[in-house]
Amino acid sequence: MKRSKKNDDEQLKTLLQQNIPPKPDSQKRQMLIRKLSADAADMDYLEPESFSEKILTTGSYFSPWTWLAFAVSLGLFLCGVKSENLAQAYSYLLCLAPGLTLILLSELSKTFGHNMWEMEAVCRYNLPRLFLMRLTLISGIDFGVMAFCFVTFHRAGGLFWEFALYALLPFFLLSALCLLLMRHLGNRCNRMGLLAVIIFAEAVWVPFTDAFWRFQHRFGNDVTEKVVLCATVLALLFYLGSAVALCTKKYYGNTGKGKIIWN
Amino acid sequence: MQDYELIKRIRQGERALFGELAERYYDVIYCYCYYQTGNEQAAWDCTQETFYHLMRFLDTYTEKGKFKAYLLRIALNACRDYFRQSKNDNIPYDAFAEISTTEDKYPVPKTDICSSALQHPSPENQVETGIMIQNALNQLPEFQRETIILFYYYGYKQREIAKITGVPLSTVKTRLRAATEKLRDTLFPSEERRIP
Repeated sequence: MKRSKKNDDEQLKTLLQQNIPPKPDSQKRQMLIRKLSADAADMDYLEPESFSEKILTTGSYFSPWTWLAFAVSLGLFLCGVKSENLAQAYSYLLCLAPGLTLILLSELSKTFGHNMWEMEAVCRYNLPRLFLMRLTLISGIDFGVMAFCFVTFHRAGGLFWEFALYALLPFFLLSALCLLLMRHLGNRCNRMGLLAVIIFAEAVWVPFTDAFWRFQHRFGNDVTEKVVLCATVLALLFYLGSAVALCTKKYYGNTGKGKIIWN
Repeated sequence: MQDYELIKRIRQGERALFGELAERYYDVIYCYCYYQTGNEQAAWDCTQETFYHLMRFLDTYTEKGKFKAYLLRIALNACRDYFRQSKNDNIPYDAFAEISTTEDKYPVPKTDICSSALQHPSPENQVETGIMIQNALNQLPEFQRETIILFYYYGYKQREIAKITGVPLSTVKTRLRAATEKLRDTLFPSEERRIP
């Protein structure tokens, strides 16, 4: 007679339920529980932290050079804008994007250098979460710096699309490109290699800015502004997507050594 | 008190509550380890190992309302370590000494004792049936056995088993199907094979 799978499963389940394990020795059980309670007393657990506390903790591990680099970038930009020559401000703006990207990547790439990923794994740090913290903090500061620079630039007579063209677009595109490279290369990521990519990409970007100027002469400010704004939004999405891709990748399984870390 | 609250209080410094947490889950973990190893001593060792690992890694636990599954995952790893260690120490793979001695007495069914146990369950033949079932479980490969245990004894869905064992859903399905077939062949040898 043909039997159904459901009946088979039920039958097997009923039969398997008849395998009842022997009762654990109650003395042994009590002894283990007492021992566990006593040993737990010596454990020193990390206090659960809120997101803002985690961000602050991450910030405290940043190198003083990072903070100094932010201050220098800002200072240089302010000096450039105060010179009352807007053309000079453009060149400072062009330098701002790779400068900020370099700071971002320099901090992030420390995670991969000197087998830090291994150390972090052993020390029970969650590497993607660590990336998230660092990215959130540095990106937050970058956006702050950008906002400040825009206000200063705007007061000096600059337009939004000019700022987006010279600073925002190259920053988002460069950072996204480098984040994707880091994700792909993992611990093979090299700081010098990233620096070369940044310089090369920036060199490629400069002729593009000329192209936008020609575009502006031909179609006017309104159309150019809309085009640049759309491009900036797309670049921002690309940047966010790359950041998410970097923060969600599991690195432990990709060590190539077949080593599985406990839990 | 909910598990999460208990864990939170342990992390915040009330370490003595760890005993209460262990008390709450001791039987669940012991049973899992027994089904997996088929040996009381090994089950005890793996249970102990599980709780010590839990103690060490409790601060990395993120509350998702699935503490039992988290603990079972640790127990599963503890059992895997036990089997790996047994192989390294050249202990025969079926390190089920207690069962092996009774195996001659109650061999894996050549007659349909299991079928009769299903039709007429009685306390008298429950021990005999239990040993036969455990022997049949022991004959399964380690990964198939853990899938069967989580599915039939703990009632987890295939998707949940995939998460606990850390393998794709398709692998769980394959393991479950293969293990079920093997168990049926062992426990109901005289029955006709099911037509798929």
